[in-house]
Amino acid sequence: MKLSYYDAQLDRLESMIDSLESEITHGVSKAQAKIDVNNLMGKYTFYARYMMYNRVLSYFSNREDVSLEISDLGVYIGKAKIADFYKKYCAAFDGKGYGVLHEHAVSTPVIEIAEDGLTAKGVWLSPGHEAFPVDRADADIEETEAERGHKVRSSWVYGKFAVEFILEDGEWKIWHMQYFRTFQIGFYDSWTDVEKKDAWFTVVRSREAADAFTGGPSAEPTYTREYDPQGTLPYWPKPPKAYDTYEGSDPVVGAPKE
Amino acid sequence: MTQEERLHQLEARLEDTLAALHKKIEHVMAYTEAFNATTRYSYRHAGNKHLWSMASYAMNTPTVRAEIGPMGLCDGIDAVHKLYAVGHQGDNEESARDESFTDGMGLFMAEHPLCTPIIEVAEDCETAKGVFISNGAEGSGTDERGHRGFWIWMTPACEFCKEDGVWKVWHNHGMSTFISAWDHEWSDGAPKMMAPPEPEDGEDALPPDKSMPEADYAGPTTFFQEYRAWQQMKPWPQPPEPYETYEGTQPVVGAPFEGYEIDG
Repeated sequence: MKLSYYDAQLDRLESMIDSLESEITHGVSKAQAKIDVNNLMGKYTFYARYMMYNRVLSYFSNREDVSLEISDLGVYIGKAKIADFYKKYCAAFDGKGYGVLHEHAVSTPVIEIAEDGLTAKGVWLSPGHEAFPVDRADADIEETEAERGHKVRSSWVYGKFAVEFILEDGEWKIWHMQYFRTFQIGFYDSWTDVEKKDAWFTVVRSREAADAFTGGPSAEPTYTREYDPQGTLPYWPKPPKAYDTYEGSDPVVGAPKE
Repeated sequence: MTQEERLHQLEARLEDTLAALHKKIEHVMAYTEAFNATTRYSYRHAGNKHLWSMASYAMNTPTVRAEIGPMGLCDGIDAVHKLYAVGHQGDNEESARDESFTDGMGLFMAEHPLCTPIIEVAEDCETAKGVFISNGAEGSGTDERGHRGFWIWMTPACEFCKEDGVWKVWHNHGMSTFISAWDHEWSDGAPKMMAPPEPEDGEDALPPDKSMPEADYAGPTTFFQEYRAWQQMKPWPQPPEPYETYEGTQPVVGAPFEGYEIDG
């Protein structure tokens, strides 16, 4: 049966409404997802600073392949191992929080939401600082009144976050997180001074100390290159590109390809 | 279905779709506009346009309020006005008043970048709440040794409302995490800027809640803390969570809530 002019116009109107619902709504939903992911990274930052590690853990996915890699401390895979990292190792250094302040702000976000809306990738520059008792690596966690405030030192810590996210029960969760430290150095020293940097890490957060508390990571670190005035700092992590669906390729976490 | 019935059906569907889209877009735009209200404030503050800083505030809303560090709670339009007109303006009124003047006031520099934004817009899109980390620097002539540079990291906490459709800062609580002279680590003694005269050799300064005399337009400080090497810091401000409508509960400004503590 031949459609009348008005039927054709109604079909056209219906098609336009379909397009409005699918394309524009999709675009707006992606914009909201970027906001949600950026908010999630902010909450991770604030609650890590507050040493509220149960909250921090709640922002990670429950998937078996969830992972965390902080600079040279190795890759922690699975929620239980990540819990060990925060609640055994980090909490041990924090103690009861006297004199402890670690703040890793996140700025300069590049966030891509997959076209299918199920995953996201993002990178952030992170200007930060830390202050904590420098003798805490000896693992005597209970501070005495006399110790408080006398052995606390401040440091600058700059780095980058590369994170992959996954939508889980309607909420964005951290799926794979990697933090690349660019430098950490005591307040009175220059980050170009390699010897001072090495000396700083003999008394603070070291791989050996982390392993002692957690039993070691699930895997060796994928990438640990820090700023060194005698070398070059590779272009890594790369900002994510727009993508349709997560296929494991072109990740923002991991190590740069040879 | 007749053509007329189908037309009515499509019209209804179009109205529903547009209404849903309008709400989503309004929500996304609100995030940006609320963020801009605070970042505009930062630029004007950096440019010493302190009377213009007030343009970011809801200055037609009687419940507007501001609390900056230990300077006391400025509650209401008049108090917030005086905070900037008296407390910040400095000695070059013309420069502070006229945004077209691009010269600064001299002797004072304050750059407070805003990063780590967590901004939640209410489902009803009438209010929003946000917290930030500000990694800043200042140059001030505030002690007997003259002009000096300072590191100043802060955690601004804001609640936003709309005035005539424009997002404004409704409640602002700007807390400094530490203020440290450019050549002193923050774990070394007491604040080096807000407690004149500077203590010797790491000697403690005045208690933090007394370190700045309160102006006559400001009420008592609701909550103030800065990093001290011998203290625990309370987890403040509380990052906002998604919410339906503003009910005064779970505010991001004011004193910290019970039950927020280290749980590692």
